[in-house]
Amino acid sequence: MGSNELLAACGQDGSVESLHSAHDPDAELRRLYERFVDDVYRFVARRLGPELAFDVTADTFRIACERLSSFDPHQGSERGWLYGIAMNVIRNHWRAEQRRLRALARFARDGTGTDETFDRVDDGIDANSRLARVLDVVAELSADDRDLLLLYAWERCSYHDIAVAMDIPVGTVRSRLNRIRTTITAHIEVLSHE
Amino acid sequence: MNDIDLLTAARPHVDNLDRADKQRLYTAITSHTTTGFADPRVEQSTELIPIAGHDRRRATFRHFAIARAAALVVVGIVGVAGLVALARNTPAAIDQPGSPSAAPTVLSTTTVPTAALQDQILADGVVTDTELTAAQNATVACIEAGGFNAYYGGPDGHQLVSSAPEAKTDQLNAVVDTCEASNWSRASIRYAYGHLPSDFHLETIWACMRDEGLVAASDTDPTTAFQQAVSINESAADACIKLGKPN
Repeated sequence: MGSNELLAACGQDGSVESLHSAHDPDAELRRLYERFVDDVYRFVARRLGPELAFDVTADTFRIACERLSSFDPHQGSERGWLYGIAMNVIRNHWRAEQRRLRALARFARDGTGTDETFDRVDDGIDANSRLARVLDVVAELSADDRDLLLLYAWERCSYHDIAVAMDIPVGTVRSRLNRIRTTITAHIEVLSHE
Repeated sequence: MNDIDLLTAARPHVDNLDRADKQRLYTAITSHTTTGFADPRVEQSTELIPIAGHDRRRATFRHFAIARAAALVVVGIVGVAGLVALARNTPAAIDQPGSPSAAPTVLSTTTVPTAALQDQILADGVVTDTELTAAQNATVACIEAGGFNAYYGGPDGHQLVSSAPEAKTDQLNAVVDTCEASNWSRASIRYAYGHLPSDFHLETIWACMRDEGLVAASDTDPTTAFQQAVSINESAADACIKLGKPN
């Protein structure tokens, strides 16, 4: 199936009525892909690992294709929109993400994965230990909070992109992030005294 | 540095896709061939498309070369399917029990209870391609009996793909775990050990696992020992597997 057929198949009634695809759906899919595939792939790979990232990225773009007609470019960024789709696919692999977060925490705690696992880790044992605890807490966060936090911390998304991805107001992004920060700190303090 | 800054500074490292991978991925997107959503064996309703439903698949060692950082996770999550994929995709398999040249046992999942099927497959210490397929079929039948759609697909044929409405995700996971444990897991490990690439240093892995205390010195059954090793210490088991993988 070529991408034109794919896009046609995505339409609710067999037609594609997208602002984008109305012109050239093949070119539109290609453009989205070339511009954002690296972002989406890295986002997924950080959360699920490279083994699942390939297929999840493919699923994300397929779903994006299906939903081109529902995307309003005036409402937000395409990047944020694609992250939102990817997050929903990632949630279907929540077990894999839980295991990966715990594995990352072990790497940090053991100090064994600094070259290949993290972009950069502070050399200090205290920092590694702290990171391990943070990752443990991240694994326990609600899916919404984890999505928001990792978009901010790992993808360095703007509040606006996060708002688009999560379909929430920008002000909510800010307040939730503050709450999550407090939650993490509180959990770690509790763990430190156990 | 606050905790979120720490998280940002130490985000997981990811290798970028190279040009060939990007082209392969794009082809997969436009052809619907890599994943199972277009597979006619799984009936897809609008409620079951991935964004609203649940898609569970077992990844493989296709990306072993770039999986160093996450290999620990791979072993814990998908070691069984991964090893099978590695074995099946390698033309130069060790000629040992379980190799394709061994005479297959004729099996039918319609005449053998599924729990007994895996025992029957393992009885002679040999798992052939035919038997592995029978184990997969039994697993799928088991999952379907639990009320869900499933099949083994993907490029290597070892990714379990199943779907369910989001509200039934936990139920699906429980069914899949049970069905794979009773029909697939042990047989697939045995198969993998019989089909590892000829340059895969099995003895190195085995010795490492013994040194690490992951398997007993007297343990000679890789099927149960490997599962046990992973369950005892994923990280250590992964490190042992890395030692045995050819460069």
